[in-house]
Amino acid sequence: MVFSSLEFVFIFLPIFLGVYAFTDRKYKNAVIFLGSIVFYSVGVIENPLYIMLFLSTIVVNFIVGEFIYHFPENGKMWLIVGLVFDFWGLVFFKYFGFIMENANSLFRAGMTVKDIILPVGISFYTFQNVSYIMDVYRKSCSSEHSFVNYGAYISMFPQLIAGPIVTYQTVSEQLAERKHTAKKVENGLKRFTIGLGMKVIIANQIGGLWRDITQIGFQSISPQLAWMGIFGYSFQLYFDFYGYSLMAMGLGEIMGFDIPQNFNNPYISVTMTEFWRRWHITLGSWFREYIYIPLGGSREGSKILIRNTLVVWLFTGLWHGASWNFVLWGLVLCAIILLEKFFIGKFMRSHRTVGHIYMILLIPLTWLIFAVTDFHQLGLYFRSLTPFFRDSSIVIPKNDYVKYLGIYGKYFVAGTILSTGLLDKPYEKIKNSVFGAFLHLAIFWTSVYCMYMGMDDIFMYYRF
Amino acid sequence: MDKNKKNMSQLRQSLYTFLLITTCLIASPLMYSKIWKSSAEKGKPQNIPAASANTVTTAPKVQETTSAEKQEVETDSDFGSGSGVDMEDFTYPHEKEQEQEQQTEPQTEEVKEPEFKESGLEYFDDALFVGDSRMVGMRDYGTIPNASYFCDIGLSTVQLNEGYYINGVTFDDMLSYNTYGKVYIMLGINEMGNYFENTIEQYKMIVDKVKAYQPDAIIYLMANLHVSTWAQTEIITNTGIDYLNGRMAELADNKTVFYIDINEIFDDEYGALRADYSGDGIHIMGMYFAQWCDWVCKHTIVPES
Repeated sequence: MVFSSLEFVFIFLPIFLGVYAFTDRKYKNAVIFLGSIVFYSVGVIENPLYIMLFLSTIVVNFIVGEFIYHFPENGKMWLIVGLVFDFWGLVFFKYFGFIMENANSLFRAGMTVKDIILPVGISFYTFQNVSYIMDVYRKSCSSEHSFVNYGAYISMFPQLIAGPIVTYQTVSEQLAERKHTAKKVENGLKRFTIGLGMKVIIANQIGGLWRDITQIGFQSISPQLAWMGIFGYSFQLYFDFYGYSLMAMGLGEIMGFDIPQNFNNPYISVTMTEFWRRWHITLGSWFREYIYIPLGGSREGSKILIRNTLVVWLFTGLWHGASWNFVLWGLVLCAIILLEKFFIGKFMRSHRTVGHIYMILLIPLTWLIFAVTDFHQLGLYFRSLTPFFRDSSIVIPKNDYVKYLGIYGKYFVAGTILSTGLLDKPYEKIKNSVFGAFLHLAIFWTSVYCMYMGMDDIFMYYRF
Repeated sequence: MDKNKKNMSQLRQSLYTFLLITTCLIASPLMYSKIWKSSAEKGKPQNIPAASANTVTTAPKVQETTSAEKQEVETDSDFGSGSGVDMEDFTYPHEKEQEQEQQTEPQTEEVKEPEFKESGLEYFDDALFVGDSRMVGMRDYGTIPNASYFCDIGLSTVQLNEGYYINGVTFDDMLSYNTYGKVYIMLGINEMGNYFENTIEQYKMIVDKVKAYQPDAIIYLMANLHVSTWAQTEIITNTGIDYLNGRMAELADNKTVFYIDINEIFDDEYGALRADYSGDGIHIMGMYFAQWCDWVCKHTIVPES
């Protein structure tokens, strides 16, 4: 079920919140667990086995956590059991086809490659499960003794499908005891509304441009339209995922949780390093915490640092999808980040205007590698970005970009203003005023109107 | 760390061990193997109509007049597994009428097969192309810039007849202020969820209108382009498109009204739009409109003078 759907907003959410509000404190986590399973079931209705599979990951990690905690002498063994179980699931669903395909083409092995449908949210809940057993193993937290609480933590529907990746440590106390106040509910609703608006009113609409360009074909677009396309895609991805994360935070808040921020105005960064500290923050922390630092981080000299950065970015790339373009994307980001670390980072930080220009060009270009999974198509798009390398026999309508600027120009303006953080302070000032109330209502009903008109789309991060 | 760490009871320990072993070693492998078995092989389409499904002789359900039934048709449309069962037995009102007509009316004169010839670009100097987004693509990315175009995204036959404005003019304006030797029409995909008969009625009105305003014009009814297999929906199916195209073809008299079917160059083996020719499964990509236009050039009627 998608947050930005009428079924979620008008059916699931009111029923869930109603039941949740009237349930005794003792059983609230059980309501979350059950409600989330219902939520998840709707999403995987065509593959009911996926519900069992999901529940089995909860059972296994819960027990493994308990065993690591109670029998630390065998902790390593239990940790390995948990990790193998978790990563096997991820590899089977996400990477098996990719591995087999490449093995086939490399060794002419002729193995059967199957299209296995990815269970929604698997990348996210696997990372949460892993973070939990790792934390218990490292003794940074104790294990969760209540199965219901653990089930509620992993399955919690606001963050089940596309994060933020909440570590057990950050919510363990809240799971046991949290405050429910009217203020929290109000704030949560507001946050949810703003997220909904970002997704439905901006991301979905500006997303039309990328759809149009894909439909036209990358050979047949002018350089101006090609650049507009990747800027548009950058806005679409940001407002889609940021909108989702805000909705998740808002829903968490309504239920009394503090779910961590996942974005912090990433598009105003002056270096790629900074960008990735502001974009999908919880994923970055996960890789830092569970891969980069255990490998030695940056403390053991340049060589180790380069190796560790490479490993982290290869994994980050592959986490986003089993396809070579994501590997390339990860490698490009790794190269940029190392370049900044050793050479240009300092300059960019002290010359912020140059830094902004550098990032304004670089961000959409790296998202292009992210967006186009086929290398041939990717090549065509890169060729379309300049007038020099294109196939001149193909008709390109004169001023094609003017037409699209007419359609999407307003979303570019809104996107630019909203992604620079210029409105953050004014928003904080008015959000509790009468005007703020009207603003939220207007955003809510405009979003509902858009959803009703079928101008909806699923979240881009659902496929990861 | 937890200061109140309690030892795990023997019972709990056994229960957990049992659960862990059953989940990891029995349930989980069973589930994985089941999922593996039920997954489709890559590259082989699953749950889509086979080639024969597109040539099913029965037409999609055609609605009666009530909206309740309209609803039923929209949700009960035809492709995919299972839902095709009742199609075999379904007889449609218009089919009954057709059967009766065929029985009662003596066959009228045989319709001659049209003779298409190849023409140069100048043929289109006095041509008007009318259509929806597919025609917008032809206007913007095609190689017939000298023709006139009256097309818009989402345009339907009903809108065309009701005086839809494009750049401040209606279709009637275009016909009354200009002289056209050829009028090409491709509409219908945007109204597939509606009443098929209505679309055909609207088509008849369009043809009559063109004939009235431009008695010398050759009218080309262009078949609606198929969609890619994956892009089929409950409402838009290639079976439905074929049915609509078939009904449009019946309007051709091969004297002044001709039916031409572009699908022959863009179809794959399943009778669907080739997936590699399209980004969204509904429209062909910009660069392929050159082929489209070439094909149109090769399918012209040149009146003997």
